Amino acid sequence: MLWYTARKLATAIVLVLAVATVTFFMLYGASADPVANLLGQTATPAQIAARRIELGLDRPVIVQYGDWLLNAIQGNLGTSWLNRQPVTDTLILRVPVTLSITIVATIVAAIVGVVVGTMAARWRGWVDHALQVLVIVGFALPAFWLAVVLSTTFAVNLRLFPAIGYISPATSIGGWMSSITLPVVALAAGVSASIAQQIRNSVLDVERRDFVRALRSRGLGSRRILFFHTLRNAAPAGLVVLSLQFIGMLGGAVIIENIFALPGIGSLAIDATNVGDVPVVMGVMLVTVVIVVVVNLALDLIQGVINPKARLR
Amino acid sequence: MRVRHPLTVAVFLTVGATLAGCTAASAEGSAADSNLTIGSVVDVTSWNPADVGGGHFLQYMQPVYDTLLQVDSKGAIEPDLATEWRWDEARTTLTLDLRTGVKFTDGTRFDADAVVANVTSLKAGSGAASSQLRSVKDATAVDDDTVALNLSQPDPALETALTQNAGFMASPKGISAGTLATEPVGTGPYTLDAKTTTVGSEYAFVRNAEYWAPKTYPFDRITIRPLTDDSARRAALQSGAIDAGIGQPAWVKEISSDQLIAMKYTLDFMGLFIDDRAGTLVPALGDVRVRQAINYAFDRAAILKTIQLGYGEETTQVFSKSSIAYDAKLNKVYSYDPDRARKLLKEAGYADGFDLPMPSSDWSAAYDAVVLEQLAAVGIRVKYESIPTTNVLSRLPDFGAHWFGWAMPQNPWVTVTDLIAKDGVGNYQHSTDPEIDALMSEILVTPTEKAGPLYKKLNARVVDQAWFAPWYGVSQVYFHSSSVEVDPPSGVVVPAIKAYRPAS
Repeated sequence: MLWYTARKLATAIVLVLAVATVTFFMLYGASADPVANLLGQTATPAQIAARRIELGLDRPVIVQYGDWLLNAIQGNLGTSWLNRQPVTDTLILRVPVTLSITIVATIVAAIVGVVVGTMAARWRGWVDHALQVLVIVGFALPAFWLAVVLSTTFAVNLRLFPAIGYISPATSIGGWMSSITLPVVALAAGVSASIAQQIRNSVLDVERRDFVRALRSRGLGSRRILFFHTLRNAAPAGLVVLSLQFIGMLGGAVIIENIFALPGIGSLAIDATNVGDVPVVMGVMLVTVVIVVVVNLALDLIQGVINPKARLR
Repeated sequence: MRVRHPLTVAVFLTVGATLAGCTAASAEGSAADSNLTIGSVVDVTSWNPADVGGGHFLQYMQPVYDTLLQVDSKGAIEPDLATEWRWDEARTTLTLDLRTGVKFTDGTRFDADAVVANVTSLKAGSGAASSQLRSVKDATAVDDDTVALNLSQPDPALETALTQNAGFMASPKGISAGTLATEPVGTGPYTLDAKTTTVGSEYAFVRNAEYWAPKTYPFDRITIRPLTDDSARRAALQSGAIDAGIGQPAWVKEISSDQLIAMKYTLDFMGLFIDDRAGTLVPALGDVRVRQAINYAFDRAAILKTIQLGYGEETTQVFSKSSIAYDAKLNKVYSYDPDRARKLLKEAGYADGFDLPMPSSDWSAAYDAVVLEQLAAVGIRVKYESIPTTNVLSRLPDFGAHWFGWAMPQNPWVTVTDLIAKDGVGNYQHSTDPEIDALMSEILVTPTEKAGPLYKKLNARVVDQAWFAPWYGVSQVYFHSSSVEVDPPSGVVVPAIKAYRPAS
């Protein structure tokens, strides 16, 4: 297990490095000179030239990359070209916001998905039919559309939740819950549907297997079979879907955060990309890759715990 | 049924959140308790006045920093930190008498030396102030409360500049410590409250207890929330999370007027910049008849109606209607006439039209199709090159013409220095014209009150030479709740902080 974890970690580091390198050079390819835009249309050529030197953009790209990498390894991600805030400080403030909504949305989606999926598999009939329809609807409706509808209905018209903004749980737990409820629902809706579908199919599949029939013939109660055998065997497939969806949600959060004006890394990514604020884009990219790697690693380890067969790899 | 447990938990969570939501929603955005919350379309990039842009960014600076001069709702210039000011005979020295007894919030005294330190810092910065102060050589302290700004050449826009970025006065201690970017220190009516500020989400300002004119600012607390996304800003306005913010013309019909009040004012013009007046990049554009043909090719009324939903006013000039350079007669020069355009192109030797490379980006996306179609109708073939948003400004000099919007300030000299002067930041190919140069020199030595006819002549020349093909002045729509009153801004994109007050 230790060797397995170490190997996974080494792969992860290589992955982070590779993504960082590709992103850095892609950013340079896409926006060769963002300084004019950073300073706005009334900036004079002299101001633009001075800022380029201040930001070190007059150096060869490879030197800039080496500099960034060396600093990044020491935990210094540089300062924003736009607002001169240290990127690390900005990320420390913003990562919890994005993780708040994505983690809570994942938990909600997992609970709703497992409950609905199991009900559909066990009861079939109208519950199952309704689920099939919901899954299609869930896939078809984009999260941002749902977010706008939720915002209009529950924040603007009914005024039950705040339309914008984020309240830290350190300030107020109730405020935090109310500020993330609509974003979480918008993010979790589609994911719940796909997890429910996955769980339903897995449960149906497992229930047809010989060992379940054997357990049943030995007189085990159907609820006991469901919780201790069927769901346990159906879980790996569901977990894979869940981890993929979590990573997908990081992408979905970009738009959701903008609609609800949440100060997370998604809205930061959009703002920074629009102006070509390279250090911030690199910082967001790094954090995202690390989150993805950690989630995958965690998934592998959990798989190993649930399903001993997975450990043999 | 054990399965029901998670559901029960979920129901509890929802109910809890709903209750919390009620309290959170009702606590926000009410002007009645002397709080003002404004939504901004930009996020502040620096608290150092020397490094910040103009326009939308001014609202972030105004709570903390006083300016040397200020402008009232009709555009007249009034005292602020400077109580009186006068020009010398040659109009190259502006002497300002300063308010006495004013202190920065770090305890430093505001005096002539402080102004000198600020002018030096503002000139060296990367913000809008630097170009506003380009004609100022230096500042000298005459005595403790008198300062002289020494100019290299007369600048009719300087007083206006001192009401905006170029007039912000920061603590000299902060300037020398280099900490202003994150810790603003001014003499203004409020201070930035670091405890309740979340960078990128909301900036809170609390009263400066020592402020010299507290009654000008009726609110005890001001919050500015950067809401760059249109739908977020709209939801924030409609839910009462913010009291005021910029909106879209399309919202006016959709938002009931008893909920929010929509205010309209004109600021930018939109249309084509025909940059290559010498014909270096696109030889055809060097012929004035071709540039005039482009002006005749646009159906301004139709574009205004379809794209701008009628929120604007047709124009063929780049000067503001409120400026002394404006001449209503000029708007009749280029009425929509595609036949005339084709005839002019034929006379210029382009009977078969010509290829016109133009940049296409997120900024111009909504207008690209109409430019392409209307120019194609007279034989000009627009060839778009797609430009990433981040590169638009650095790539504009590579093109002979481009679609753009530009502010129309009340002070016409600002328009002249930005768009018409050879080294103007919006004169991308550095075009010159002997007649225009002569008029500019003449305006410089003429007192503003007598310069009207000269500006009108200059404007007429620019229209005749078709340096631009403006379509219309755009109406900015600004929404505010009925609990606050707001004076429309004059020559700036958003109202000044002092223009807001609780509804009586």
